[in-house]
Amino acid sequence: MIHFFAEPLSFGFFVRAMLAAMAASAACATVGTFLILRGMTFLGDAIAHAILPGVAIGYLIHRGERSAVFYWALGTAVVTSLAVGAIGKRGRLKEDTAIGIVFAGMFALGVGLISTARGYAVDLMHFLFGNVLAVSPQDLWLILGLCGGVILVVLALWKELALATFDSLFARTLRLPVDAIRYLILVLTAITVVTALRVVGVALTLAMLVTPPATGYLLAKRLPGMVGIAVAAGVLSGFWGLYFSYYLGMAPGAAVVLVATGLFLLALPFRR
Amino acid sequence: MMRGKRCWQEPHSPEVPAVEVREVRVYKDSVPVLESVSFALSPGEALAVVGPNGAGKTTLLSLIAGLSRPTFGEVRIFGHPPGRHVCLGYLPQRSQAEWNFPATVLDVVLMGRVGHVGLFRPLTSLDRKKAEKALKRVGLEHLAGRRVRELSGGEQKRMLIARALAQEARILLLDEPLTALDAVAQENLLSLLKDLAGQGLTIIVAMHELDLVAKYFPHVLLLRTRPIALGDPKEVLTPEALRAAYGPALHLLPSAMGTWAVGDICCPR
Repeated sequence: MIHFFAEPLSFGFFVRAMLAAMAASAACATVGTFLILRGMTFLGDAIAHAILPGVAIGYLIHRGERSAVFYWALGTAVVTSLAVGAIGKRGRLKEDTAIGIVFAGMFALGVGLISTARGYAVDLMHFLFGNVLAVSPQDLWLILGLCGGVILVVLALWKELALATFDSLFARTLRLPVDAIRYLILVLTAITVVTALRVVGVALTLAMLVTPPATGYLLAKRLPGMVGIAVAAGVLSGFWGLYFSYYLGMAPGAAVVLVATGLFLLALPFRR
Repeated sequence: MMRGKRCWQEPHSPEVPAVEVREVRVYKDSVPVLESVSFALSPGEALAVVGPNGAGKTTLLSLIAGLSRPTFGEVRIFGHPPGRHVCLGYLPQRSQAEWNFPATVLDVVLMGRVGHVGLFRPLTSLDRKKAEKALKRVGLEHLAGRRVRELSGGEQKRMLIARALAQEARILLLDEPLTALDAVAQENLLSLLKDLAGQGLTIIVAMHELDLVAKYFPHVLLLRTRPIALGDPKEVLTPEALRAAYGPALHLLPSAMGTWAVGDICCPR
């Protein structure tokens, strides 16, 4: 039994991958809680898809240098999240329609750009489905720092975030900057999406934002409980996902998401 | 940003009204929505605003709440322009609250304290005590641990009033709070508001229930874009004034009490 847990831990890449997966899952669960309560989850998915062109440009410019790609992803994500926030405010098309057009177009641009490079198929797979096993020590510190920062911001602004999420009109009568809070949530989403990108990739990021918070929503009566359960479910998914990946030879991103989905299904009969 | 922003604690001079509306006009796309509305309310006074749909009741309340601005004229809250204080509680017609939010009744009432606590500071046990006291004042203390989505319509309204009390609001604005409440819940809510006015809160209620106005409110504003009548309901709500507000489709029935009950309200279009 001890051997079961200890064996993979003797590999540095495995330990780094697991820590990165757990940190990204915790940050996604925290931010995702507010996204699902505000009905903004599709924005998380939109941001994940729309950063691909940024990733692609970084990839083409700094060929082979992964941490440079990371910063390109982060920059694009923040710009995209602010653009997404602006789209929702004006325009004749409905918000989800406008965002659908923009993010599918951006995604196509990203795939198109990457496909111009030779041997693109493997790298494209990494962007789409993550490559957490290749996380370097520097990458890990960056991921831990970003995830820790996101969680700290949420804790610091807890009561304002909760209030603006529950009743934004009331928040406005209290003169809370409701629009700024919405943008803040989008930027926090962008940052967590970039970390999740490393772990589960573009295609499965939505699951990290939605599934653990949904598990928390089923089981908890109050917001702190919901976030607590969501983070626990996310961290457990990261932990078990990596072990399943090791022993079953499964893609780690997919394994993490499958564990998160399994936890949600387990919670379903116990909803309150 | 929010820190230290309280309702004015210094004793207000009695001649400064809690709410003052001066010659307010609102135009939307050059169509008049409100015209020449003026009134003043002292602390502890309660005003019912009645009138047909589209008469401008909601617009008037949102002006006083500081959520929108008049085209001409001005609104004063304790002598100050609206929008720089936390002493005003506003319950909109359709609450935009997310009722599936995972929170208990006490959690929501505690949200009324957020404006007093300030950024980055946690709520304290003092805030909790104030929230519990507010719940007691609206008679919901037994539901403190109940989830908000399990409340009835009347309980929801009471909880939101408790939140305004926890916020230490001196002025309560309620937009059609009686819709979707049964007759008992309507009377309970109005007598709660009457008690709160007795404790010094200034209360403005937009409503359609003309039969309840005279029973609970010393002042009524009959509105149809412009004020048709303002004053004591027993004197102001005459058949002529009501017809002027609602149009000839309105049916008036004399009741046993000698007051007027409304058989049918139709929107004059």
